[in-house]
Amino acid sequence: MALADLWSYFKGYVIIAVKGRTLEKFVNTALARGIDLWDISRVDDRSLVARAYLHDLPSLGRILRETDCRGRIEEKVGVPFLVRRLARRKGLVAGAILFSVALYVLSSFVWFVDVSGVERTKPEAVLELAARHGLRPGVLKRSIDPGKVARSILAEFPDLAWAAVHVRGTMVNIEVVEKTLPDMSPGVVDVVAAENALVTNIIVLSGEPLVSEGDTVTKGQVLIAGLILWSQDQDGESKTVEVVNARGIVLARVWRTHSEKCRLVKEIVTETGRVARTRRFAVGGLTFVVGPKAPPFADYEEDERSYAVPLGGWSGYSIGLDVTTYREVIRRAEVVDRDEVLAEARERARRALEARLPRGARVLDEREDVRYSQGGVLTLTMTIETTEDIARERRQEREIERPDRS
Amino acid sequence: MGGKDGITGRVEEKLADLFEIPKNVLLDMPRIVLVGNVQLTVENHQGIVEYTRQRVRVATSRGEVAVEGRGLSIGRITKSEIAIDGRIHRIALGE
Repeated sequence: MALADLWSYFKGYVIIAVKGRTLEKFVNTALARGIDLWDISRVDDRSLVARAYLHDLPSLGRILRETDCRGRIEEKVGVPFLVRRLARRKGLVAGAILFSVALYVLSSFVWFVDVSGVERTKPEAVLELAARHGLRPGVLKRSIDPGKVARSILAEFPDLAWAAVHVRGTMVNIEVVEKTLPDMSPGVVDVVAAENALVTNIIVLSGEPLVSEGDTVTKGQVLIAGLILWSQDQDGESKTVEVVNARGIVLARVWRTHSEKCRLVKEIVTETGRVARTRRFAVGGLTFVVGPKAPPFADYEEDERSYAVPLGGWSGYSIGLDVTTYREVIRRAEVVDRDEVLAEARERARRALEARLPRGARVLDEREDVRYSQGGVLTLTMTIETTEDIARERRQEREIERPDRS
Repeated sequence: MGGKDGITGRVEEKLADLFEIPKNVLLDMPRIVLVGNVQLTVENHQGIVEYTRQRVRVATSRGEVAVEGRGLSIGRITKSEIAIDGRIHRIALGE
């Protein structure tokens, strides 16, 4: 029925109240003339309310006269009436049209241009270049060719590997990817230890190993040294220099520890709800105290608030009010379940340690040491042993010197 | 109409039985559909005789269909069909 309702809404209908003695005759006559009525309900024995289509209104008027009934339109429903009402409010309609047109016109311009993906290149340079190719805030969206702009940006920046121009509404995003250039800085790469560790396995890919398996190394120690090789020609004149950067894998055992402290006795403070306040008024050099001078409770917590109003800039005096609030409390020490605290501490320690593990580390062993000290404090120290690659490449500025020829 | 009660009417009825055709198709008989106790539809009616909130009488070729109930209203009325909504208590078919 919803579809039929929608249809009648589009055609427009009226709710009419009909009064008269011969209402049945009215309905029957309307029926005979092919006029659709619906939702007919009797109000009392002299009147009824019904709905009829807007286009049937003239014939309904005739039938009312013929059957000696009087009718009144109670409500007008539907699109035709809506249109008529809107037609009367021309300003509103004009405003709505103006708004739509303005929205359409304004949205056909480029308002913002931004650049993403730049690291070394200056975004301003990219924007300037885009502007030279017709892409800048204020131009018509239709006038720009994203593909062409992207191609010309790519052509003019040698260190860009890829560029694309995306038009999203009134925003244009220039997305670029920079080329990854090989590191050409001078010096030689050494492999150093990332952690204090015990070397278990060393695989040298290039360079000269300085440690061997079973050695203990400290953090930052050079494990594999890079080399600078001189090659000489027949004259004995050194001509070319070759830098060998160190590379390798150094597997080692690393121990990491973490301590967690926790209390076995928890203090629980409960407020009893009894409160006392002491107010101190200070006017000039005089002080008045309202309320108890000393806290009236055996155990309490206090907090103090001060308010001051300066009394004229010249006098230096002020009206001050200090309010001290004492709240009575009951303190109670509660012994916490030791196993629970220990389990929590263990969990925290493990999480802290795991956060420090590098990727690829394999855990070999996990140990813990629990100590109780005075004052109900428990200290849990967890040690985990892993095997991992501790090799880290580090570029060392090294003077490339001529080797001694002796 | 009254004419259906004559000899031709009886012949038509026999024919409808013979060919198993629904009677309302051939004989212009009203078709009355009752949905629970909330809606009554009369097809092939011949107009309303009486309409109040408590009682609706509809004329058909086979006499009147009288519906009694509470809060009765005519949900839809066209030349061929009338739908009566409301709480229906009693239906009477008669001459």
